[in-house]
Amino acid sequence: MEMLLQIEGIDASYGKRQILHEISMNLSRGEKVLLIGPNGAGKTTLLKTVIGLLPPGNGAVNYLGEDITGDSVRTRVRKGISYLLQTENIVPGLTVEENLALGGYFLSKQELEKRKNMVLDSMEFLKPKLKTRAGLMSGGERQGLALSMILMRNPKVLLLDEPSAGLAPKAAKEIIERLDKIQAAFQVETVCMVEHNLKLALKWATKIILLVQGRVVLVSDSPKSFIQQPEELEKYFFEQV
Amino acid sequence: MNYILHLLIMIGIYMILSYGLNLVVGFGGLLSLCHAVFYGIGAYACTLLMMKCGLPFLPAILLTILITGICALIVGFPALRFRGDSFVIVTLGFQMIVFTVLYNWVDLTRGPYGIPGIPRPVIAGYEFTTLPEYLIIVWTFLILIAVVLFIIYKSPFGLALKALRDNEMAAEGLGKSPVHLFLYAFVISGMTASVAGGLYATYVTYIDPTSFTLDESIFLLTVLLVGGTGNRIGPFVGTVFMILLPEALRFLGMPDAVAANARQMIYGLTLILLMFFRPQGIAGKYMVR
Repeated sequence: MEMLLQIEGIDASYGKRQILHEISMNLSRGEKVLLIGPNGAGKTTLLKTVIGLLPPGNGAVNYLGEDITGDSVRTRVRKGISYLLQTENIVPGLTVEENLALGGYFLSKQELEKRKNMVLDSMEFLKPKLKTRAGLMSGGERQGLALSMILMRNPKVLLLDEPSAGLAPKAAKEIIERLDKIQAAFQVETVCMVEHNLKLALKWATKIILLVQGRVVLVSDSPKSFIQQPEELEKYFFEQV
Repeated sequence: MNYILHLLIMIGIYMILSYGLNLVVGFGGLLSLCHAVFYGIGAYACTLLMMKCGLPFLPAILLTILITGICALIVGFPALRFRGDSFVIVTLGFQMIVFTVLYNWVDLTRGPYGIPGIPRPVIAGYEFTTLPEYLIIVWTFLILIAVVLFIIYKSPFGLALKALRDNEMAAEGLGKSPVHLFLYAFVISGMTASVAGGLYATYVTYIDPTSFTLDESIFLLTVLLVGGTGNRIGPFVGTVFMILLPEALRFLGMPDAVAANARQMIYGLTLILLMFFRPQGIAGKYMVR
């Protein structure tokens, strides 16, 4: 499989507190990567480093063979990497339509309209709410909108930070089940998702990366084996932390 | 009649100032306390370009816009690394520095003595001297600036500013660069204030640093807080209210000394009542925090 995103020996810190220690991982075309680990393992920090919100201390991020470590978030987004924040990922004071326009900030008017219609075809529940203030929607609808916003720019790589965070079980299931359809419809080449709802996410993933205390401790290409042997995961969660 | 024309001219000048400031405060959500600085730089730059360099009004005002834009860029670049209280304090510091420079650089600005005898604008050989003529020139500039600003308010740039105001992290995650976007807003805002400065200087034909103090910056912010921010109507309402309020007090027949203090007290009381009953301003959408 062709490699899309290559992370090489990344270190990252908040002030003096080092969170990531020499993280290396690859995301290839067609992969659905589930990034798991206990709280504080550095999952969100890793995604923030990949998108450029947090500069790495050491190491490099390569996208399609090009070193993008020094690129701004804006450049990375333009190149096709999109990031869904865990919470507060919409602008509540703006309408749904304005939020979508914000997602497609770099697009021309015609492209924006075309892309908006495409996104709305996949997220039909947003259609009647275009003029509604985003802050007035339910948690599930907000997450759907946040996902729609990052789909506005034709991304090749999606970095999703707990898309089911704070959602009721039904809404969480819907959002994760929708991912495959989205990936196909929008020709997203790779998705890397942080998710604590393993029951749902393991069914979706084709690859698992386990992060503990800022280090990669396991990479598995057979998530199914984890479904059958959940104690394997528990071992990492409870014994190594 | 002249009195009404004068009020309309001052409303026009202050509307230019408040619409420009609205981009930073109402759309960007940044509380700037140095808007009077750009107003002052505009007034002095335009005056000096006309009087010392002998430039006609229009080239002078164009150069003034450029000079003030560069000043705003120099200030904004470090200031916009900060948010919230820290940003307010940085802008306050800049306000104090520029006032001190204007007051003490006597060779250039004549310091506290001010610059008298500023020539009236001459455009295409026609000198604008009477109040009705001046009203036309001020409101023409106001309309031009308002049209440009309204386009900016509605543009993707305006939308991105609102997004940064409401949720900076989300906007940044979508690829919006806060420093760049805020800097553009800050520079545009400063440039519009400089036009107001040039118009004011050539209208009153005398300027001194006391017209561009911290009090003036606070007054401009008050105009926005009273009228409301983040939309097109708020700055208009705020300017009309704040300019006409002290004028209304004139008709109460109070002695001048009392009226001046009463004006300050009424401003203060208005702000307190607004914070209680309508924190987003009379016609505002966004509540400045």
